[in-house]
Amino acid sequence: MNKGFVLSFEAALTLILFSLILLSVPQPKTESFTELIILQQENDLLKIWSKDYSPLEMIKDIKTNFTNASLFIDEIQLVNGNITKNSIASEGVLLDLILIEHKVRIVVYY
Amino acid sequence: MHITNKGFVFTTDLIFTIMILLVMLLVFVIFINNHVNFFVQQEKNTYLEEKTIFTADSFVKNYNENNTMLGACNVDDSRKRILNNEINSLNFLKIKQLELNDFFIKKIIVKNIFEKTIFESSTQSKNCFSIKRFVLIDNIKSEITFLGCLYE
Repeated sequence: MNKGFVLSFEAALTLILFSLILLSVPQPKTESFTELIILQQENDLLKIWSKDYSPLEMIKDIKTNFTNASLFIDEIQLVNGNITKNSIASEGVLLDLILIEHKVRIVVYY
Repeated sequence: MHITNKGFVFTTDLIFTIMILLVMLLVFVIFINNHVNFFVQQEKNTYLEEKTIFTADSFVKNYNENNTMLGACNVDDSRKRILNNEINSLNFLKIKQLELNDFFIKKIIVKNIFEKTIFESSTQSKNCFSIKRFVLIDNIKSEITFLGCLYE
């Protein structure tokens, strides 16, 4: 065998294993309460709107408080959000001044 | 590795393998150290977020006559019901700091037509988390922001 740097099969295998181990190192996941916070805020708005039914106010609230959200009243979309991978929806039945039921749905995309 | 009459002879391969093994050990130690640090910080953040969220939720959903930090809602005495998300501004006068070991509420800000700080602690902290909730304060639609912090 000539003099020089010779890499045997075992050494090559070790290198491959080492690379595989480095690649397979699990990345820790970051936990957050984003979903819970959005859900709470959606429910807050539904509760507030139940006291004073006003679609114009609802549109304003959605646009002011959420960066990307949709609002539906009786299946009619009043605010159009961009659909993303994650979304949380809340729905409630609200009564207007003449006690007619309206199905209100908020969808927040994040 | 050859075993001769004089003893062991190390080959380049073996030295190389040992070096890789040592590097692997070093990488593992660094990896474990980073993960432990990350999880400790993550645990702290989760604790802080959880306490802030739950304190804010309690404030807008309950009524506590001793400390309205834990609940400042109106109560319908006739129906014996708490009117959640409906807050009486008089209850702001009875807000006291929570008595928890490492967590405290730094600030509560109410925003409607005006913006007003209804509670503020003088304790300084850089590790804080804020949450926004929507309520009716004296029948006025308002935004209430809680800033929870950990003692340093």
